[in-house]
Amino acid sequence: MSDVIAAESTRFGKLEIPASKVIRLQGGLLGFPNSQRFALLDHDKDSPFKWLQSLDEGELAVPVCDPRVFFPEYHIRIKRDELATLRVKSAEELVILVVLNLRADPADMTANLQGPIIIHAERLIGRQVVLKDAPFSTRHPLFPGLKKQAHEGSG
Amino acid sequence: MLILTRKSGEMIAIGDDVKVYIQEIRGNQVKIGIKAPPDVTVHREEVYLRIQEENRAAALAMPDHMKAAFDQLRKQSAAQEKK
Repeated sequence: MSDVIAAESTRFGKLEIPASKVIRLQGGLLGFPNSQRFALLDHDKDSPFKWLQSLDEGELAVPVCDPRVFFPEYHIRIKRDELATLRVKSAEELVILVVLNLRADPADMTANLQGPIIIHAERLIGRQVVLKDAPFSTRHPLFPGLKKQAHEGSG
Repeated sequence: MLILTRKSGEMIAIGDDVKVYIQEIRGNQVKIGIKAPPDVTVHREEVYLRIQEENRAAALAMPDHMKAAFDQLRKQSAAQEKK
């Protein structure tokens, strides 16, 4: 029998997550040091958007997605010793997620490409890394086409 | 807060594992070298704060917002397929 972690969430009510699916983020999500255990919740099975829901603080959930869905050229460089704490040996063992800032208007939605979350795909241990001198910003527009239209319309 | 005066080339030790070297002082800029174990993350404060801020802003999202994002994505892929 596998263990189940029960947690209350403000958005999705009571959650029961198999212990084998719990993601542990070393150091938590930056700005939320009290949350270390998370679960990845689907929003729609066909959607690339997921919720990274804290199992320690019910109100804490952030939208995340695979950055390559929106930014095929996205790549990150991480120091070997930073990977060592996750016991990652090769890039193939990693899952990369970026935190999304979703608003009512899709034109205002952004992805934080400078602070990706890297997770060991099998061990489910991860951390949010801060990329230094990265060419990517913390507020990269998710739908850049929409922004353009808005500017053209107003100008 | 502990305040120390250090000269260029001097060092501060924090605990057993963290060492801070003052490498160079020029005008109002200080070049600092930090030696810390891999599980201690060291950041320039402003980048770190910006990412904390983005996380806090991201945590305000509600399911409706995610639905809006998915709708927009589907709209875009449908438009691309038409082309």
